[in-house]
Amino acid sequence: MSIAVTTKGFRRTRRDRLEVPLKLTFPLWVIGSVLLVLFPIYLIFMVSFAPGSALFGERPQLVVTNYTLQPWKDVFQTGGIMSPLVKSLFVASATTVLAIIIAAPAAYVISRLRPAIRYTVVIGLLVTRMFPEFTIGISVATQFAKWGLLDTYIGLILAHLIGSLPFIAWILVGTFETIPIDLEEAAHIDGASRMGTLIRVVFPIAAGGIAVASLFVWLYSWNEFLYARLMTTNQLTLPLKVFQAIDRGSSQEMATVAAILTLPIVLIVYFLQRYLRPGALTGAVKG
Amino acid sequence: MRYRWKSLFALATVLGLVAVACGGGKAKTTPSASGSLAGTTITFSDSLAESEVAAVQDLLTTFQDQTGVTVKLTAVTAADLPQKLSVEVDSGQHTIQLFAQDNLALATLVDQDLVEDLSDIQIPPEITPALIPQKFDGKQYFLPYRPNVRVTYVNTDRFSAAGVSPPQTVEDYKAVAEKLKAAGGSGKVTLSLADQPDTGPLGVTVSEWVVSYGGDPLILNDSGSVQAFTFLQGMWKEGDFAKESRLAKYDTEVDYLKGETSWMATNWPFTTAELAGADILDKFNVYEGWKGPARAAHVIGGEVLGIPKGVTGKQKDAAIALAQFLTSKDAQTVLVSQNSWPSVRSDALGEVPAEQKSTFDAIQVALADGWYRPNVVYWSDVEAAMDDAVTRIIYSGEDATTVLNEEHNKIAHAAKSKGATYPPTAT
Repeated sequence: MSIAVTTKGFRRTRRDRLEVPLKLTFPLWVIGSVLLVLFPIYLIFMVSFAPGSALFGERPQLVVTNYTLQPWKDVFQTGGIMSPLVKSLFVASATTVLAIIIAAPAAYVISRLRPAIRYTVVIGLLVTRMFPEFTIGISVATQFAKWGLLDTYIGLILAHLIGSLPFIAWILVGTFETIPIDLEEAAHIDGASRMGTLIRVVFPIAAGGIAVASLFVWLYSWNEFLYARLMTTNQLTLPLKVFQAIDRGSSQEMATVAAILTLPIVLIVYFLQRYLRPGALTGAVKG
Repeated sequence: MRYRWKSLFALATVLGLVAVACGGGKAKTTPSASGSLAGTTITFSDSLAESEVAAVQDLLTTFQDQTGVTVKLTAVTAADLPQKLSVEVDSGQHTIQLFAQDNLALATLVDQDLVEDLSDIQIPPEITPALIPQKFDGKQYFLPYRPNVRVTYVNTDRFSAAGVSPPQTVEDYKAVAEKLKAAGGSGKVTLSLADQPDTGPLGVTVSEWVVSYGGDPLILNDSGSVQAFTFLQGMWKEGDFAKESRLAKYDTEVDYLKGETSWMATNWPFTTAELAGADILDKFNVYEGWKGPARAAHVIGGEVLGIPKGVTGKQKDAAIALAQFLTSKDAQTVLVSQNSWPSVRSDALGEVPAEQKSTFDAIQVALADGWYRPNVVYWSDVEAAMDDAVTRIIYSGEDATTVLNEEHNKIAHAAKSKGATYPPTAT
């Protein structure tokens, strides 16, 4: 931008003209966007604490003052929420750990291939994600059922790995690509083995990307519904419990179970937020 | 050091979760009875409202004590059951040995060969003949369990204040709705018009109105259907219905009645238990509803029992025993008295608690005007057409004849593409 200085003073640029309106509207836009995103979450929690009269009376309240804990008590005491909660936590965590253990070394290897081969493999990984899971879900569930994996934790974990492994591998390939090979060669010179270099040099640098990829896998597994529906009968997961509440429960029960489904996500994102910044997926370059 | 403590803590958490996952939960009760089926474990799937679970669970406990069979209760929705059974039947691994399925959604199970032929099972003579599930190709695939029918709930205080009484005809219905609107300032009558697949409230509501005008929901563009939609269109346009009708379904209707958003609504009888639980049942009058120009019409809902194909041996025997137990006089009496479910038997009457007597009487009258929804494979297309018709005719005010002609053509096309006979034989 150039500013032409005349004898009569500065010539205002286009950016100068927009500066004041931007200063006024930008905060409003930010506040509006935040409200838009947070409002559904507020509604879930609000409905879970609201008595029926506040929701379905003649004038439903947007801010509930006479809240009640009864729906939460009912869900925990008689709603059978603990088993689905524990199952979902375990399956999501185990899926994440296994996905990292399997996909991280694989992604590292792919990132070190020649570009033509690397991109072919990456595109192959992406193609597998283009098919809706519904098209293969029944076939996969039927095969798992033949192997006796219905209503088991390991069956669900394996089913979740089907969807998450290509995705996490794709993310981590990009992460490892940004790590200079020079660092590995320096480690070799210092006497580190291949595996030692991977564990002590490469993975720590890629920790940010691995953390973000883990978060995505965890969220995917936590919210997964199709395989849970097909492969579980007596041991429900939490998303199935939410569906059950939607189908046959009251609005407050539905909102309470949905709130319980949301809480771990909030906690995990809170603790991992330091990794959720621009460049987290690009690793760290040193030297 | 600190890193090691964090690692240990994380490991302890994971091990704790594993322990809970593998061994947690309630202590399993050991079946006390002995018999040929003792020690067998089966799973019974029945999608129940929360208020209905306790009575069914009590029955399962009784059955367990009598036979030694452990029965686990689970809930797979009517819409999900075909897919679930498809996985289990194809794989030969069954986690469900007996299921209760909505009596509308049976054709899919038979067409996909997912259910056992139960023609050899003797149906007790005390079962009301009209409530015996229909046969498919001469074979009995399903056993009776529980019929169900909607009844009408009326807020007596509001009706008294408005100077009206429960309507008996559609003319009464319109007049009452207008007076309630005048008293309340907005429409105070709700129609259950929320759209849900397969067994949704919209399909039930529209079917009842169409049949009450002498129409056929599978045809949808006959004179009865046009008149029914035109009538509802007029009432909607004048604001006689509450706008909440768009979202009204089985559970929200209960909330609307409780919160007095609605002063008159038609809903399934579990509503009585919900209102009693909120200690406001005495504010309501429950009756069978009004009569249309052609007849009174009440869709007969409810569930029937089936056994997935491939269940064999002791598990099949246990499933059959449980099915027979659930249709026994003792079991049906429990379901009548605790859930206010109408009985499939003619001899399981008279045990209804006093507070639920009016509901039960209303159900019996409504059942007499019951209408069975035909089990056709294209019913989902019929419901989609109904949903479209409601949106365009009732909400948007389009011409009923034009819209219904289009929807009829869609239904015809869908029926023929699915290999069904269309138009259907008279229902």
